[in-house]
Amino acid sequence: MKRIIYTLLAVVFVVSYSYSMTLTGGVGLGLGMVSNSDLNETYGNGFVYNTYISFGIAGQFSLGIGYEGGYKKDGDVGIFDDVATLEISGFQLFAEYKFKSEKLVPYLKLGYGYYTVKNSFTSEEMGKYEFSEKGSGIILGGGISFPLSKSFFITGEVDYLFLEVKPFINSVNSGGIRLLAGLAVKFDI
Amino acid sequence: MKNYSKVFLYIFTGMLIISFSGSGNYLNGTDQRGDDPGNIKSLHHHKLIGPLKEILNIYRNEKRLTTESLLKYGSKKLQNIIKGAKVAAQPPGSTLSKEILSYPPKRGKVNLSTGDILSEREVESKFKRPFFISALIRDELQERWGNPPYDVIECNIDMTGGIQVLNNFNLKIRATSEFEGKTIVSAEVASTEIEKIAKLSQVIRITPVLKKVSQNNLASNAVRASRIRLKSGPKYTKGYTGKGVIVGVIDSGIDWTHEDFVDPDTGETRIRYIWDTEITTPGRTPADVFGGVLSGLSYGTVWTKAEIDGGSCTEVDTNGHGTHVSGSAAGNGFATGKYTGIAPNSDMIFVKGLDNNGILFIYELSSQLGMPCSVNMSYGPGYPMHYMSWWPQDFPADGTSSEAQEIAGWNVSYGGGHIPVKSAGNEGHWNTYTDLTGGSYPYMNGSYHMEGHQSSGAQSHTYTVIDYTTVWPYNLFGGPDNSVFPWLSFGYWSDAPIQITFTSPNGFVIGPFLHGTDGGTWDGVVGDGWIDWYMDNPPASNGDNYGSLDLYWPYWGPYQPALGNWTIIVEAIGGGSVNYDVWCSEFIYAGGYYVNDINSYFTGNFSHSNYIIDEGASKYEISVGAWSTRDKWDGSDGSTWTYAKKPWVGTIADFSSPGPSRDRRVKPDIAAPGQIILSAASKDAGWSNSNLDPDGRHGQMSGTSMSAPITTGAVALVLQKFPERNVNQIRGSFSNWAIKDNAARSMGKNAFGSGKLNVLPLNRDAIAVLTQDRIEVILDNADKSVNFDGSKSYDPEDFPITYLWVLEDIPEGANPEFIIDNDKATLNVDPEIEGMYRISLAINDTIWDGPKTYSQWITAKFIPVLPPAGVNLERVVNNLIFVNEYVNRITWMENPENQVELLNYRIYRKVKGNGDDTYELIAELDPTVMGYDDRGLEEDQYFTYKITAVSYRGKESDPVIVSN
Repeated sequence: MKRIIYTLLAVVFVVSYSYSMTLTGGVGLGLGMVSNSDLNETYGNGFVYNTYISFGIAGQFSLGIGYEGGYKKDGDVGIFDDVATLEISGFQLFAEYKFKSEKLVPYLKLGYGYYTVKNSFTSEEMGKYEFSEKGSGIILGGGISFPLSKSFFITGEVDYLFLEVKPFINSVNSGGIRLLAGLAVKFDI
Repeated sequence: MKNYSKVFLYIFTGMLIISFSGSGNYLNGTDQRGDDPGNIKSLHHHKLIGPLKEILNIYRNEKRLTTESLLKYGSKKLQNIIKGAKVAAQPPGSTLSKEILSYPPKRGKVNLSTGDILSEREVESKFKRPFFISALIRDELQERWGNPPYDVIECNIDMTGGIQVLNNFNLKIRATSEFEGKTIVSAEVASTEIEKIAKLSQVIRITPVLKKVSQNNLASNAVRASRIRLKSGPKYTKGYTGKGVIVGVIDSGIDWTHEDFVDPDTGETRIRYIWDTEITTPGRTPADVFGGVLSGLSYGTVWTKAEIDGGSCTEVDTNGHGTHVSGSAAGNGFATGKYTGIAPNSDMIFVKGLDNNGILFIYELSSQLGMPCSVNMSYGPGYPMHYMSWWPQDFPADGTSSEAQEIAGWNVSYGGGHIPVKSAGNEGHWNTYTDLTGGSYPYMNGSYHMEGHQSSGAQSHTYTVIDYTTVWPYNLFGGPDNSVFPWLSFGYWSDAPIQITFTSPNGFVIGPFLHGTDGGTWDGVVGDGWIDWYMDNPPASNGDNYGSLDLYWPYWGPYQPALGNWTIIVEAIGGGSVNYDVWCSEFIYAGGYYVNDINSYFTGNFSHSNYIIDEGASKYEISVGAWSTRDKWDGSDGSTWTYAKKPWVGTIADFSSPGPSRDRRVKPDIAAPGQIILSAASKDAGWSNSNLDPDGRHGQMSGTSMSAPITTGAVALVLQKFPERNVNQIRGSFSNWAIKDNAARSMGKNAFGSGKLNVLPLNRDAIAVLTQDRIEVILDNADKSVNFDGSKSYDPEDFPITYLWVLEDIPEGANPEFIIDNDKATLNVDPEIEGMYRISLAINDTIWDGPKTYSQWITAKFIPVLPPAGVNLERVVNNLIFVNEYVNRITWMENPENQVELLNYRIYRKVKGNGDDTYELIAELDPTVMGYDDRGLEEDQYFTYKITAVSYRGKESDPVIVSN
């Protein structure tokens, strides 16, 4: 992970030295979904947020790093309806390609996320039981940004996170669709 | 000349003896001297001319006249004259009845208050009069045979049948009895007819019926009869009292006025009938009054109950024996309340006179009344040893005598419920007394009986002849001499012909005398004594041989056999096997009297067993010995008395005749108290102050005469309960019940028979009927009591019952309440403690010693907790998405039969396969919960579960076990 970050920074530095760069920072808020039917049935969709910074390099491409968080849902799991909590959060590395457009700028996103899935439940019989499992997976997405000004943008983004975790025996798809609406600001550097 | 002189001297002496002797009839009819009923073998009343003619004939034939020739060739009569003594000439083919005097048993008395000693002779002098013989129908006989004197013999004629042939003879049939295929005819026969009757082809034998005497004296209540009856006022109202049974007594008479024979409720006599056989009233004999089976009893006088109650009965008991016997058997103590017999509520029939036909009389009338009966016979020949040695043929001692078979025939024909009881006799000589005189009554270390049982060879016995010069009556009359001398007799029975040899103390051998040879006198003066032997008798009806021998000394001095030890050797002729018995006795001719006395006896190789005289030996009679319950009594003179032979209390009376029977059956059958027995005293008997009780209405007597009526009364008690029982059954019952204590065991069956009479087992234990309203108490319920009811308990004899309730067991820590109310009880259990209670009820009828205890367990418990129903175990997988959880799900249902409120359910768990001690409680669940999930299990974990239900009191049910 560190190497990847260092490599990106190195690329950013080289590219910025070679080209003029932009730095964009943004935050998005929205709905996080879980694709696994069991998880969805149990926990359902939840609020997520995404903060990121991205470096525009070579015209429409940008590389960024972001953090998703906010998904923390309670649910009654199992046949005993034990109260459980599911948290999904993690870092993302991504690349974006923005299409040229005067107003609405669509973009595509490809990234890789490093997430942590936490699940805990409590029952009278068994007490508190929890685990925290890390996983990673590709993120595919796209969105539209609408500039409010030269620097400020409104974004709307749809991502799909591919995330499998296997804390025990079972491998569980913990990913899903993210629907985000956000605000970004761009800086030229 | 010398010889002739001696001969004529003897003849002259003999004539003198004849002329001055008593005129007793040698055929034992009533002695004409009055109250002496007849002497034993009294001299034949010869006319002088007969013997003289005979003497002349001998002289003509033998050309010599010596004592030896007279004895050898002379007739029996002449011989007897020469001897000056012996009678008993026996017409061939018949036997004669015998008469004896009766004397009380020889014993003195000691006044414990003054120390005075009364000798036996003085006792005899106080004895009022001897017993009467059987009555003779004088008027009838006179009508048939003319004026007396005539000889009438009472005898039994055993016939094969065709008794009507007897109508051709001068006799009177009294009764008949059928036994073992023959007819036994009891008749009174003119002596002149005997020989003719004996020659009839139908006649098997003729046996004299001996005149009987009472076996007196001394008796009590150790048989426990008093414990199985209850009195209410003056009368016994419950238990075994002889009610519904006839007690029959054949004896000297009865004082029917005595209150002990009166019903206290009605004041009427309990005596149904009295038959006085000694006084004949025309129109009032049994033949006249009843006819039928009693048609032959045409003598005597019958008194009915009505006549007795009316006071017209003239029968009296001047002897006292019969009243005393009756009181022991059936007295009710009404006179003074002091002395009660064994069967106080029985009815009675009394026969006065020692007449065996009385048995028929009692049997028949009891049968007509529909009542069972026991008959007491406290009598027998006065001197049995004498008879057994003189006339053994009349005493086979095995129940085969004519008299015994006559009684047996009646027993068979009348069947069960007719029981004769016989006194064993007073001929014993047990060493069970203390001689208070310092030697007047030494223990007899010898016997009147010897026996032999050999497969071959000879047996030697010793007989010791004493010096009779020191013995009464010799010392009174100055003998022995030609008018006072002893005559020693030996009678025998054997199953094979025997020969007997005598050896005198000086070594002279006399004999052998062989069975089957003619009787006679041993020729010549050989040894120290002369022997007459009578051994040519045909076999008896039982197949055995019998005979007798006499040892004596001729009419010249010393007039007694050699003194000291005689050896008597007995063996089978030909040396084979033989079983034999020999009895000895003596009589002493003294101045015209015959006195039976027994001074010489067997002293070496003898037997202390004297076979019971014949009647008691029968299987059809219960014979009774006597044992001592006390050793002193209080007289009306204010003194305390005992006997000079002071009895040992608790053991056999010294006088009680021993058994067994000659055919080795146990006799006597039983022993009852017979020493110093207090019972009703006849007001006409002239009781001495020493023997009369201070209450004036009772007196003491001793003898097997007293033990027999106690047993007769006991038989009546048995018949009250089992009216159909026969002799064998009653004998068996007495045997089973008999007390076999140390005395009975140590003295043995020859003394006690089966043991001491005991009737206590007649009494049945009270029957406890115990009920309760429940046997289980549910502590959850309000009612925690159990009610017990014993009121339906009862006693078969209707004796009062006592109840003893005991709370035997209670649960630990319990504090119950037990409330008793006589025949009911209530248990209030502890409401908090479960457990078992045991209640016992002891029923006692106050008669039997041991109460019967019955127990009942009561369970006190809470409502049982039942486990859950429908318990099921399944494995469930809990999908937690990221992981599966395995769950053992246990489900159940509430048990519909559970009546108790539950506290919870418990779940126990152990690893499957582990021991039961590894169960762990994993959950306690509310009783509304019907399932449990055992969570957090691994996929490969298996367990076994126990599920129980727990009541609100903490009681846990049985578990239900499930496993996966």
